[in-house]
Amino acid sequence: MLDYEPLALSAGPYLDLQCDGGPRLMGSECLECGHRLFPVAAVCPNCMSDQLKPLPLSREGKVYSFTVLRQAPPGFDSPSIISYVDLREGVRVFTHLDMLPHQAKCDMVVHLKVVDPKIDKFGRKVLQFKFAPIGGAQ
Amino acid sequence: MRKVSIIGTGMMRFMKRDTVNMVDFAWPVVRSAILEAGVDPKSIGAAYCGSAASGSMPGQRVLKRLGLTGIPISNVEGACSSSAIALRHAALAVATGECDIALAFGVDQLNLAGKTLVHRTEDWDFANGLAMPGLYAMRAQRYMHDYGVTIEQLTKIAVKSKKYGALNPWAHFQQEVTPEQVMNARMVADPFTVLHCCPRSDGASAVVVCASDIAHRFSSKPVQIVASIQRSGKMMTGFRDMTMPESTQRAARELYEQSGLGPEDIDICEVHDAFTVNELLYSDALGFSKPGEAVQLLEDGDFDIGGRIPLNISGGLVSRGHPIGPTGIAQIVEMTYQLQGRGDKRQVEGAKLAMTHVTGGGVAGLDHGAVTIHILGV
Ligand SMILES: [Zn+2]
Repeated sequence: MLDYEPLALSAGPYLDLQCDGGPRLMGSECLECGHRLFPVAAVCPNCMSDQLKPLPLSREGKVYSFTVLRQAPPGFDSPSIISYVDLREGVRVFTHLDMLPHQAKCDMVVHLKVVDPKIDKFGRKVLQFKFAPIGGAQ
Repeated sequence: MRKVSIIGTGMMRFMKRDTVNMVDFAWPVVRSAILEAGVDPKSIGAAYCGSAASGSMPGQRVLKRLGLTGIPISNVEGACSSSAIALRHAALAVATGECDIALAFGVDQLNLAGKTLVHRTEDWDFANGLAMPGLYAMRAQRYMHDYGVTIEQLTKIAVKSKKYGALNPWAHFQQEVTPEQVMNARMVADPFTVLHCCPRSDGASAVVVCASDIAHRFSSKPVQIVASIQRSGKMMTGFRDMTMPESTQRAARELYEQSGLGPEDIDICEVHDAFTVNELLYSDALGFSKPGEAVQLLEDGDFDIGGRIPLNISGGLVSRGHPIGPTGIAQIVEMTYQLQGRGDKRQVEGAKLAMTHVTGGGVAGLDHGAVTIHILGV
């Protein structure tokens, strides 16, 4: 269990499990300036507008970078493969990779995978998704 | 604005000091800076304390031991940049004529604070398991991918750091290591073993500054603060180039523009090497090398004593240690030694202009919360 209170997302869910064609991450797009970001936000960090619409994000992305954390923060598995994954919409998502450490490479193509979440001390779900390689862990 | 000079320094060996209260190891450091400056303590017009993990009012808690009270005491928090920002504000107080003499110091006791400096309750990245070694490790992975840098080359940075740390009596680690020892040490976050990472240290550091036109009354070789800049990272949500720390690059460009100096004018530099790869990242960002080319300076010995731009000859954060709050002024003290010819076994001959660079903090969306750069000269 995580020993701290994790992110409280006030602006809405970041994962849409009911989406046609499978689950999707949800970001925001600013109606004033077009700025896009993940996770969902209540205000635009580019123009300060509070007029944003939900932005369903691609299920496929590219690993910008990664590392294998041999001693992950409390509550997370050690080792954890953490990563920044770039999505077609122009947003970068901090995530975990569902693969073996030797598989992880910069620029590899990965796709969204819903996993068994961690539960925080308030009973909320954390880390509900990872990104996995095409063909799975091997 | 008046010119400002450093006239006194105080430093201690950074190490694990968790059996005494931090106030007990901090006041002697502050006192030694004031004694070295030779100023009447009552002539100090303002004090600035940089600290990131010491709770409320560490400045007052330390200075009351010395009776240095009644004056404005400002506590500055900027993660790893804390005391560099404190110095900047002390220098500004003198430059604007608020006072003639000011004190800046840093203190933290990380080994008792026992908390991380990231925001697990509000930042997506950190809430989902990011840690600072992981962030820098991802920068390293991308730098290696983009520029063909090898783990053996990063290992050379760790070996260099420990070599110079062994010459510095203030360093947390004072033992040389072999490449094999670095490679075979405990893995923290690929490609970093523990010998690529700064230790958790406790400590304090201090300087006294005054108006340059009266500095010779107190010091036979005052060190002038030639230029100073402080910036925050820009909030970015898209595809950031993690091999080029934007806040450092932006701050350095502005600093060079303000001062009329360029990277080629700097004789010696201390950069924020919390992890080995930082020497490459920040050499590129500060303009000592073109993007991706810092590794050539490393290979050619240009980061060593006798090279083009000796880098972290104190041992840097990796060897001197990184107590967070005091780190920025520790760099300033080290460069003051070098410019005054007090570098002892690690003296860089003929150094006239020195740079210190310290970033600060993990705030998701910003490359760093803070960056502070100073140029010092004699
Ligand atoms: Zn906007």
